[in-house]
Amino acid sequence: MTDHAAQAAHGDAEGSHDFVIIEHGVHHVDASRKQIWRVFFVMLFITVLEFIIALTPGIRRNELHPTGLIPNDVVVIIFLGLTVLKAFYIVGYFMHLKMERINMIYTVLLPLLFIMYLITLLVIEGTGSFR
Amino acid sequence: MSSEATVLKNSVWNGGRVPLGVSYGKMMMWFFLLSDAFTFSTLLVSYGYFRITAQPGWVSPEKVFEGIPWIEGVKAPLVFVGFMTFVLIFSSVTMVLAVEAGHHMNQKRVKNFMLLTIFGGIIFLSCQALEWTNLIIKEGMTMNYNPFLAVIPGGNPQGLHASILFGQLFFTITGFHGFHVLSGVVINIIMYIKTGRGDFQRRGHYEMIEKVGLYWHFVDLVWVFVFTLFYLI
Repeated sequence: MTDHAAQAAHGDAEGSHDFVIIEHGVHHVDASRKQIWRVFFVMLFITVLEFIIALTPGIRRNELHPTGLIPNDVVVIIFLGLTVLKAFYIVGYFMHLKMERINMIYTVLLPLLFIMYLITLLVIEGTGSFR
Repeated sequence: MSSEATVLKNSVWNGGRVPLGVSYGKMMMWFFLLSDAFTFSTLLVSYGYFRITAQPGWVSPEKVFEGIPWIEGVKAPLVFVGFMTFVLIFSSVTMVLAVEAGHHMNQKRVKNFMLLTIFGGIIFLSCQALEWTNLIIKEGMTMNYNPFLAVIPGGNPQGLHASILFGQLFFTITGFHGFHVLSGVVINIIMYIKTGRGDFQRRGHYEMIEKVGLYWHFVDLVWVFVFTLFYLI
């Protein structure tokens, strides 16, 4: 983390006509490769967890399995939470957004509020258009 | 007065430096991906809308995706799609490793990891083709017919509409995503050839690999959502 901060500061000091300096400055081979595999195993673990929840009989309660332990709505919320967590790891580490400048992070993330707005509206509207 | 001028001079937005800290090409790739995220979100949100609307008459994904292509009579829900998910996540990892090798100007490593990424994409596409063939030809699920009707106590009056909608949304969204994977594979092959010719070595940096990588991770990102919404929930 401090490496990246130092890198950004380095880039600022250089002035920035040559942003290649920011992008291709000092990198530590072992640390970043280790982090890539760490993120991979975290995502693999989340996916396996999702499979366990989805496939173990007796966990989920729905029309097919009326005797399940956890109500379907709760399971859906857990799945969505795990998905957002995976999305965080992909965008943050694989797409490197977490290490970009804060301006860049806001530029990418703030427009997603419109999607949140769309989801909210359609979830409210989505009860009863077949009825 | 002078202190104000100093503040202005040091502002990131005052010219003379890159406010977002990324190059033009990378920024534009992010903006393209943002617009693509909106396209996919409209598709996925409309899926969610119809699904909420049709509750509880919606098709159970456990029933639709329980077969494995080539293997008869086995009921193993999600196993095949689980393999597809693993392949796509793994190809994302090889893509990151290619980008990382590019930072070290290691042409051979970039080439190898790009090749692995391309293979991952091709395996994923083949699996999707098998899955579609299995659903369309063997199970008979098409854009206007769906054999998987949800069985619920007291009958399922909206079931027919809901199940046909399921097929339409499934083929539209996974098809649109599959087309993205196909474009990604084509772009990756172009970058593989350019890496092999030493174009990026001569240019002095491998930023093109990073841009292609952004696109490839985005495809993976969309699949994470498609996987959860269609197969798990």
